[in-house]
Amino acid sequence: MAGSSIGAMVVGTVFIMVFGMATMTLVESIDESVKNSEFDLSEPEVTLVSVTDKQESTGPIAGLSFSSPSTNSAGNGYTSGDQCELVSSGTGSGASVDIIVTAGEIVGFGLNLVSGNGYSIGEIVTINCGSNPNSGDYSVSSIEDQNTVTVVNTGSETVDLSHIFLTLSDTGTKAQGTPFTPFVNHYSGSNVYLFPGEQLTTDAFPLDPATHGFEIEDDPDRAFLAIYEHKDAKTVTVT
Amino acid sequence: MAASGPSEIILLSAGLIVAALVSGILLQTWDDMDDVLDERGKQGAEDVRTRVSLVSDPINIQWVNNDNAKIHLQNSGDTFLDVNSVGAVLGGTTMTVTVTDGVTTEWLPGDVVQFTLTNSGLDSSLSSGDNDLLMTVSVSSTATGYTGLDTLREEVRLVKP
Repeated sequence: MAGSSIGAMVVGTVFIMVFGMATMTLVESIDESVKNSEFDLSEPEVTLVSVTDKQESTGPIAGLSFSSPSTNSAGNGYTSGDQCELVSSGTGSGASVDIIVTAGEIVGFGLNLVSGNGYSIGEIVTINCGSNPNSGDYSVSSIEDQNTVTVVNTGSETVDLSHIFLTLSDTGTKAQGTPFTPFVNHYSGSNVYLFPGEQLTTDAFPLDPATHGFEIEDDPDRAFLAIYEHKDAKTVTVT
Repeated sequence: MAASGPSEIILLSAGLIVAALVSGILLQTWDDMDDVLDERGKQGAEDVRTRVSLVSDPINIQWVNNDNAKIHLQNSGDTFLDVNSVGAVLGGTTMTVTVTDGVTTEWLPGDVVQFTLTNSGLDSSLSSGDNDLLMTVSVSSTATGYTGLDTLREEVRLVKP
């Protein structure tokens, strides 16, 4: 009797332990399910402060003038039809134009103007081609408008700048551009994140069909910002 | 004492066998419940982490070539999305959805992908100019072996030239 009672107690204890462990596992699974259902996705909030489209102090060349010999030099050693780099005396780079030449001297320019960026109105740009490069020059008569985008983090989460997308559109023609990341494409600062309350502005940038879906001379008047579930829109200030 | 010994042992043995059988059944049931909860939890977690958002400006979506519209969608969730299992309904019409560039295969969190929604049948129900419609887009993820689903419902203005 004593032996069988002890045996029953041992077996009973084992059963209780097994049931206890199984109950613990079940509770852990329920706990894990509850934790999964409570998972919150990121809800960043970024608001547009301003979007401008205006002439900056420097920019891409919109127009050239040639007035020789009063202002510009005709130079020598040039070949008509050549696409020649325009060398800035300031910060400009990337511009070029096809030249019109008579007897080696520049007499005008063609229609294939590549705008570059960083040029200022009135600046003299030398013409870097031919057998006597930079002996002739043009004047920059006008520059293109450029855009800037300013945003502020109005949420409570830090935002990855590469997740902010902006789409420009023209409400008149109903044309919609291509979404782009203003703080990846047009931001030279070192910031990677936008912290709560922080405000940031892009560099001035000209419109480009490949990036924005608009030509450099276009004036889209609406900007639409999207970051995850948060959206914001603002009228572009065109001056 | 000696006479009652064998019957007690028989009763004890019978009791232990019955208890073992019942315990086995109970433990198996609890184990099944545990598995179901675990599966549901993982499935739920994948659902919660799956999200898609519209990046295109909903006010000016162009209806192109009388049969398609292009939209940009952002993976705003926390898991990989499948670009080949996107579904869309535009104004009650089911659209054929393709990746516009034809080469994108990965859709990571934060990434934006352009999709073309095509159905020439919708054209006849659109009038020239602005058409305000409800767009529904569904996406799914398969990153963890569990399929998470999310549906985006957005009012859009389709512009027919």
